[in-house]
Amino acid sequence: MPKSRILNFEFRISNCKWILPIVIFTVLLTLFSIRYPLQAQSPSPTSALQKAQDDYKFQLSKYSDLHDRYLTTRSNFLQFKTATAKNDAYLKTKDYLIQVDNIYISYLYLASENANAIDFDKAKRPKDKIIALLKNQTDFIKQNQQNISSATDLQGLVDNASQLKSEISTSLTPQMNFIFASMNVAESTAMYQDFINISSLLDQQVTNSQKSSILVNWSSEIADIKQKTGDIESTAQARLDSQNGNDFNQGYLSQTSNLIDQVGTQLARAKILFNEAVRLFF
Amino acid sequence: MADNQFQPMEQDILSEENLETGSGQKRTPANISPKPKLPKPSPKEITMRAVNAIVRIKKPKLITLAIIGATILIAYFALLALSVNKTYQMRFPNTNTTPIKSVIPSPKPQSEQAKQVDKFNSELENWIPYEKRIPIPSPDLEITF
Repeated sequence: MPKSRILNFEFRISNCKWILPIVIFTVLLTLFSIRYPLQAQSPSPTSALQKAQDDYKFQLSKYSDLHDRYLTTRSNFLQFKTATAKNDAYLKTKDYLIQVDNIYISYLYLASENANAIDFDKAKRPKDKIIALLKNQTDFIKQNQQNISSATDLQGLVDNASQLKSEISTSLTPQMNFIFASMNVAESTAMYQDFINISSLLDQQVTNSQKSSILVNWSSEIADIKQKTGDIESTAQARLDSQNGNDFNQGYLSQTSNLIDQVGTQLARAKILFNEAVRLFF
Repeated sequence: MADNQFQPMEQDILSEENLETGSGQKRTPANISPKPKLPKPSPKEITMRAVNAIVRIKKPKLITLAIIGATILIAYFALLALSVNKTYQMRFPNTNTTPIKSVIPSPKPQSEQAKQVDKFNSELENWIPYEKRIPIPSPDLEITF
């Protein structure tokens, strides 16, 4: 190779040494541009219910931290009895009580999102009453939070905590019991509707088949489940409709839960029959 | 003066054209003199030239950068090949690449009724009463000083 050409080549290379960093940068950019859009295009879909659950968990974790701080400042105040310790106790108790209200607010939001996830139309149950009760409770807690924020001394906070405790046992707990019972009944009714739909669908197929003796027994079992579950559902709904939610104690909730358990037992019988029908006729 | 300078060249061209037309002979492949062929560089020669060019680069910075660039490119293509392989496996988890036919018959596709029954069964099995699913919180409200 002539020396002049080699020199020329060297000259070119040395003049274009800025090209290599650009090439490397381009390669890296390509590498990341391939990876990054894949992540950006598939964000994990977060439902409102999932959001509510996450928020509630977050508030609970924050609560435990603030509770520890409240206990520490309380013991300091009780030990030293100084104005500084009292002020510190006041501030930490205030933070703690505000966080308690935050827990209830996020909890009521979680309950309302759970209610929204139920198909009340299929269950033929009213949803408005549950939502109204949850809203009233949320409003009360928010008002209590404002009262705590405006409390100027430690005694004011103590009074507020006592008021909140009383409200929770006399109003929030019975209303939540009623809401739980309503949601349980709504979900079990929706499942009962599913049972009716599937059984009628399978019944058509079973009737067309030639296995007549099995067919008779299968149909009679399904009819029995339908009747028994329907009766239990009616009892549970009547019990709920006779209550307004303000005095729905733990006993009422247990009674409704027992009825729902009975619905579950009946529908579990249907599960076996459905599996059998699918195995035999499809 | 300028006209005088270009005169010999023009004369040459004209004489060439006259020669061609004057003779009256058509240009046949036999008449056309073969074009001078450039020697075809062999792959060995090209490789040698490339190696020589690299060896003659005096600056170590340039060599390092070139090596880094080449490494990145190799790693990139290797990763790309791996990811393509994985995607293929994920998309077709049951794909059998061997031509041997399976003796086990493929499962029957689930009917609509069977799907509904499965959904109903799973809902029934996983059902939990709401008082257990979202129990009422019980924070410490015994605030005394």
